[in-house]
Amino acid sequence: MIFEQMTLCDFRQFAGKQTIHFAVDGRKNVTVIHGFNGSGKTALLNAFTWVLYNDFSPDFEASDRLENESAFSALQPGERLRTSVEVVFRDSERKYTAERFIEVEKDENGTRRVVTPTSVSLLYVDESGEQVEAKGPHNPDETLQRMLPKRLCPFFFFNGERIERLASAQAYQEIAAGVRTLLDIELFDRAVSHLEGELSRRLRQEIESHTGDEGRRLLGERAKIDEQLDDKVKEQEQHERNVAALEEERDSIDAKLDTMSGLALLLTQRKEAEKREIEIKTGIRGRRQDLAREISRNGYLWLVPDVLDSARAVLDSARERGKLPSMFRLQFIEDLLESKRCICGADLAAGSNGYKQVESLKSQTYSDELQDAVNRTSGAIGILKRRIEESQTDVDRLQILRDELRTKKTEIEEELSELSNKIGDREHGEDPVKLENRRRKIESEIVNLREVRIPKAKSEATDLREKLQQLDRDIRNVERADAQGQLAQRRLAAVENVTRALSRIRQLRHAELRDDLSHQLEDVWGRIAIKDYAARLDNEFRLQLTKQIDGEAMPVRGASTGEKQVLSLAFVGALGAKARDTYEKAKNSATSIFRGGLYPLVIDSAFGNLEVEYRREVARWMPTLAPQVIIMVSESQWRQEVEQELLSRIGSEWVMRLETTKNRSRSISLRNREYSYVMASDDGAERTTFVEVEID
Amino acid sequence: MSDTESERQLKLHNILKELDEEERDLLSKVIKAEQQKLHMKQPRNINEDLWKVLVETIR
Repeated sequence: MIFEQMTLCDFRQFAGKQTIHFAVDGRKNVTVIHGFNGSGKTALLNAFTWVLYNDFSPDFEASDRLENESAFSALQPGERLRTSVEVVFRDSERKYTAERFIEVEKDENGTRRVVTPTSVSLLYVDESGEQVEAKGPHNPDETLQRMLPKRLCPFFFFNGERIERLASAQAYQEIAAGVRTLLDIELFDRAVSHLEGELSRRLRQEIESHTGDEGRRLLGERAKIDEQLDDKVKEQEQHERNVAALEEERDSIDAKLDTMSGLALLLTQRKEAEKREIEIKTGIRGRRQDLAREISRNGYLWLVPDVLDSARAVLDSARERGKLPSMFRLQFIEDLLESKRCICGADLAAGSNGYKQVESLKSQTYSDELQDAVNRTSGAIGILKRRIEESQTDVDRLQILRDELRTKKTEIEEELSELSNKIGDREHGEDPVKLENRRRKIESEIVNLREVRIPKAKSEATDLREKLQQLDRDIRNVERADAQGQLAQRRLAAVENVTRALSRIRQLRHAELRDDLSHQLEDVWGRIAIKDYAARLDNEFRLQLTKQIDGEAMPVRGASTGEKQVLSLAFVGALGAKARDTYEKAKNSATSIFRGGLYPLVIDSAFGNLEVEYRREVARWMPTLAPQVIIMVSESQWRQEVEQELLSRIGSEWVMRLETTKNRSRSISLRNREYSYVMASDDGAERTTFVEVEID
Repeated sequence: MSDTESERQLKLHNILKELDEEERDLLSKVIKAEQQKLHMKQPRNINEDLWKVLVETIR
């Protein structure tokens, strides 16, 4: 979706009919709109979300009054006012015009009355160049949603000063939902859920009605287990939500404690100790995995030393008795007999004494395969014995390391407990006591959830899934099905195979997105960040800043608002870039499963309160990530470094001239020209007018 | 170490290769049906759409 122009008609500050054109050129893809505080930058952002989704951002006040106040005041009783936003855009090679409007009337008492509620129309230009109504199976709202789903709105239409929200712990579900929708994961999740759900249920019922008692019994059993699994999954999700909420509460307690005098040293010590605790726990997990790997690779050998010893004894005894190795190869004896001549030159005529003597040697030979096996076994026994010794040494070493870490863990837990007692000591006052008590309970509950309840629920769910799979196999194979039952069995088998394939494709896509988005994030963040942090997206699409501590990536706690804003912007950019990349690939492939898309970035207060270095870098990479960037800025946000970076990428530039009832005026200097920025209204009405900046 | 583009394509190809022709057809029709209603929070009648696709594909 690439916007070409927008026409506002008596919408909020924008009196009368006004049109603004956006930059659509691939290289000059940035539109900059300058506006004084209160001139309507947020209203313009909301004009986009209103026309597309009939929705507004949380900071848009009085969203039930969209009409221009002056235009409404000028109405005579009984007159009507039509407020509208029309946007012209391109999507998938087609040009559309969407218009949303509302009509209000001033009644005899001067009261406002809505006469035509919010309505939307959508037209497109057909092959002949005619503009026609976009008809089809979907209404205009649905068609617009298909092009750019509403849940993606926060990623493409946002206020730069509030974007840091995406980097908060609570936003991960929103991010995950956005990524799933934008990059096709949602489609696979839904397909799997629908196939496994209603469709499979219907097929099983059909099998049941065509397979008698056996089918009924299996289906009943399956329904019970399905229900248990559903409960278990819900239980696990609830535990995970609880952990996130508890962590958030703990962080807010920490923030409160941070502000209390006399605790600074203790809190610093605790933060250090907590870091060490995480490192130790990571170390224990690592050693446990090393041990599991070693046992899985060589553990079976520990059970067979007696067998190896017996094999060696058998071979040694054979050697002692002269049975091994054989002096002659079987093939050699056979060649002599066939040639009828011994190597000493003696004649070996069939039936002669010499022939019989040579032939008798055959009983002392073995097949080549047996000889090779004996040689291999003799060599392997020694190797295997050495591997047993090495493996036992390795396991001993890993166990010692793990035990040392466990001891350290106990020590650090005692240290943390001691610190907690000191922080919660009454000598610091009542508030720290209460806060620390609550913090202890939270910590204990988090540990309980993370280390006991969540793993238990996960393991139980896995067992139930295995039972379901077995039952599904049984249902598919119930004998005595009639023709209809057999067809249903075949369909169920096909649905199960397709569901499995969809799940695997989804996993592939998930891994691809996590890797690509993470790399893109790392790249953008690496170029911008001042501190030595790394940006990453974890498995659950949690946006994180991490820091290397002793070779391990540890999460950064307490990142600044500016850092979070940059991280969030980098994420949004990475998301748009990946969607564009997928779109370009799909365009060149007739069989592509994934679609992607072209999505613009529309940002109010794009550079927020960022530091100079951040502004410069954000301004530099922003136009490269999205095919179209529309930014609204105040004069203080449009500073030299931003202008320098963006100048060559600007394809369209506008000033929102604010006419105020006060006798105030000021201008803004852009491209060596002065533009009226704020001016006194000549008719006593406040309004904003778009003025195009001349681009040489 | 993440996969290269060609490794990803190969993995996808292998997954599809394990299905027979009818099942591949079903998979592609299921994706199309889901795409049609992806914008809806609660896709109306999607189960009926999928049932039709199934009955038409696996006869």
